[in-house]
Amino acid sequence: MNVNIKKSAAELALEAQVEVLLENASGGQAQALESLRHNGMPHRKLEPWVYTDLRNLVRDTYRPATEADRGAGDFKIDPALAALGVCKIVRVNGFLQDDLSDLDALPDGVSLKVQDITAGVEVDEHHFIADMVTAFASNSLVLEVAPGANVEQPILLANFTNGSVPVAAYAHTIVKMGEGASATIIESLEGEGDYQSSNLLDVSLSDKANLNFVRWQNEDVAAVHLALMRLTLGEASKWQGFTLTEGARVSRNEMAIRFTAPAADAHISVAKLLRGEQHGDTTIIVDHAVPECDSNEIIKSVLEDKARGIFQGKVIVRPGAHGTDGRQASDALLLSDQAEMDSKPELEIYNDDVQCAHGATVGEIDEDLLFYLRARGIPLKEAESLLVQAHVGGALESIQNEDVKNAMTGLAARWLTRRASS
Amino acid sequence: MVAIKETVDQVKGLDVEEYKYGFVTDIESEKAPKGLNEDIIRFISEKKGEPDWMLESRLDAYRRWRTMTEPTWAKVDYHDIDFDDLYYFSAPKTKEGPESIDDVDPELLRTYEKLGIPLREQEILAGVKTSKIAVDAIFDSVSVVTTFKEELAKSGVIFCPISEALRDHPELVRKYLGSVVPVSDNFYATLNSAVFSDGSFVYIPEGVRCPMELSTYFRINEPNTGQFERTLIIAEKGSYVSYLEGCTAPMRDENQLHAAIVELIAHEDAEIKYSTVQNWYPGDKDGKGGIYNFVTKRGDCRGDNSKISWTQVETGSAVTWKYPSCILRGDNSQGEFYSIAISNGYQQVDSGTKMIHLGKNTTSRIISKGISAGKSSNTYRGKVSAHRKATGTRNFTQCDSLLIGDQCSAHTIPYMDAKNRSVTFEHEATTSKISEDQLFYCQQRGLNEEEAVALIVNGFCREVLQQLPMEFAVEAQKLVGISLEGSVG
Repeated sequence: MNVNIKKSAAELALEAQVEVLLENASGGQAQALESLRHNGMPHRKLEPWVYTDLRNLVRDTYRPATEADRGAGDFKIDPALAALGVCKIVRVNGFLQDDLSDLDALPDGVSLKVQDITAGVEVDEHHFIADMVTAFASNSLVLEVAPGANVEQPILLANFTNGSVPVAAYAHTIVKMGEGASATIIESLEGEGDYQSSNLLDVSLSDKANLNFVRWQNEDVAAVHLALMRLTLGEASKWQGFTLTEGARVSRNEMAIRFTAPAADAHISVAKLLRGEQHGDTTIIVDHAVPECDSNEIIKSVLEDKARGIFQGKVIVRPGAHGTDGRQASDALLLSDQAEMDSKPELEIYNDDVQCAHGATVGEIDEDLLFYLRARGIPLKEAESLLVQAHVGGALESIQNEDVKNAMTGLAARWLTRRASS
Repeated sequence: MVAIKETVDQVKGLDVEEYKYGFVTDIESEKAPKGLNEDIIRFISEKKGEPDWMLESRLDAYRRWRTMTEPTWAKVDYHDIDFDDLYYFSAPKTKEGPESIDDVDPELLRTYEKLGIPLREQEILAGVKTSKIAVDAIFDSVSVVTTFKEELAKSGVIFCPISEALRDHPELVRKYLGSVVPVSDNFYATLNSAVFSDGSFVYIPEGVRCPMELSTYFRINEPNTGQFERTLIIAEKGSYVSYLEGCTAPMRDENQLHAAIVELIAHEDAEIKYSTVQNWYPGDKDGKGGIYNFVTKRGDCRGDNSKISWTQVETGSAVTWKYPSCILRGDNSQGEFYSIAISNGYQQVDSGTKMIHLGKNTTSRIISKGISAGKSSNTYRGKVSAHRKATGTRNFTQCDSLLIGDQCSAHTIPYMDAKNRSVTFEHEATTSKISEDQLFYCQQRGLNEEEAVALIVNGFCREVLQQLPMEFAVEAQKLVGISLEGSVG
């Protein structure tokens, strides 16, 4: 059945923007634009977007931000993060801010450069978010950690979008971890007003590299946030990723993780705290194409009011990827009658020498546990908070750096405090 | 541990045993001309002496079907089906409407004898079987014979071919047909609604516990024929019925289409238990031939406290596309789905279930065991959803996959949509191969590798096999063994 859905203003605006840029585009940018022109905005008839129908969710129009919009407003690094003594790299509306960043004080072994957008973007497979960023971002930020470097100081990639006028900000970041290098990177995503922020992150880990990556998505509750992270792991490399999602009206956080050499390890944990009418989609695709790699996903969602949480996971084990261990666990707590959780944890397995498992649960707070706490004199809201905190704790556990773990725990607790006081 | 011994024996005999139901019955048949158009539909309807409204409904379905395209989302890959190169109606030539079993062509009876299906009531009564099973035998497009009809009628149970029900109980058929699977539900369901030929009709009146197991045995015999059966089971308030379904087909080089619809309706306090042992011809070792099994099965727990339970053992068919589902409409209603899907050779299975929770305090349980061997692909696809008003809903899902060999694949695609707080959904799934330790343990105790695998696989499937009626459980266990033939080493 071919149903012609009427295009929204947002879609028409996007089409017009694409047409304008196509006149002078070439190379990768032209390909991305062509792909956008051909495919349009993702909608629920497309399986990967079945729960996040952008056609329906994004109705407003945003014009691409320019350098002239870069006024940072009152942007400040959150004290919880500043207290970690981070090395700051700040972008506002997708543009690097020399004055707000510590570009002169990068830790040893770390280098940063800005390069043409199409030089660093792979355009072999088209994906809406990648296409959007490739088509509209002005450049790529390349962060490199030299082979063997052991960077102690956490690096903060701060992204701020100033939505005093409805703009669309596009940021592309490339992170390259050299052989045997190790580092902790924190990425913060914040903003003010009604805007759209699109974020493409390409991370590659060379052999034996080790990266702790923490992401805090705290976009304005009026904003639309689209993020795609493409991660490739080299031999015996290690990825520890944690995401705290609490912002945006509509968010899609997609991770595509690909093992390119044996014996690598990826640990992905996500804490998702949503309320109001927020829509938060976490999509994680793990592709085991080589032997002896492990992946482990832990997704903890807490949904209140009319919030809608989505988890789509897919673990692919290709022929020849023997000795694979792939795990997914998604647990959601629904705190109100109108909250909604949709999960689709998929396994796609072409090899018999594997251990794969997924578990998914949805439910409300356990009455027995609540009774136990209240019997001990803890008020209802507080008891609920404790139990919610314990639920989220399962995802926070995986953060390696103790200080960073405490900072993120503090940020999650702040969400809960807001809840308790409401 | 008798069952396991049975399986081991079965596995031992595997060298000679391939698809043992692959013979052809040499019988003259009467066919509608090849192809599909409104005249064919009129032909089928006239052949069955149907009322006008049925013909209209068929034509309406046909017109809708013409505007639809085949679905492509399932994880299966097959040659395009030329819908104009099929026979949509084929019946063995017999005298007009056999009055009793003695009027049935002896060649047909021999066929069912070979298949091990008891059609002669007195033999069953005198025979070794302890419990009685009423059988509706469907051969290509028509029902050949239905046993124990009179005895069932005494308790008010109607068990007959659906074409007969259309003549004798048109009001019932009209009320319920298409009320669970609407005409335009999906491509194959719409096709079926246009051309369905025969199938079983079951009506259990209020408060009646059906005195025996009911079963239908489907056989495709003619080449280039599609089988489009339609089954409708209605359980009135407080009634109970257990229904079994079995199917086989000859070995042929070309693929054959089987697109059925099964509709179950359970009223207040009623329970329907529907079991399937699906053993259509799976194609040869090179993936040539076999049945395309594209089936829509759905149960509607319409009344409060009703229950529908699906149990399936899927070992046959080249391509399977089938999702027996439950709509849990009545408060406190229950849905169950137990499945073993075994694929070997080049078989492709995309099967699972949907549990749609609409009523309050509804519960559902899904146990799915997929076993892939050879070069096959086995997918579990399921959906559990709870409506905003379906408070107190519970679901437990367990889907495990076992891989035997490194060229097969197993996929799990579960959807869970929870739209209110008081929902409790639990889903777990695992995929693994047979553990070396378990194999070693069995082999140490003198079992050879194939026996050991059969033993372990039976253990893996136990939870589902337990749900089958006893006579079928033994049969199913044998099938598990046969299906995995040649999968080790």
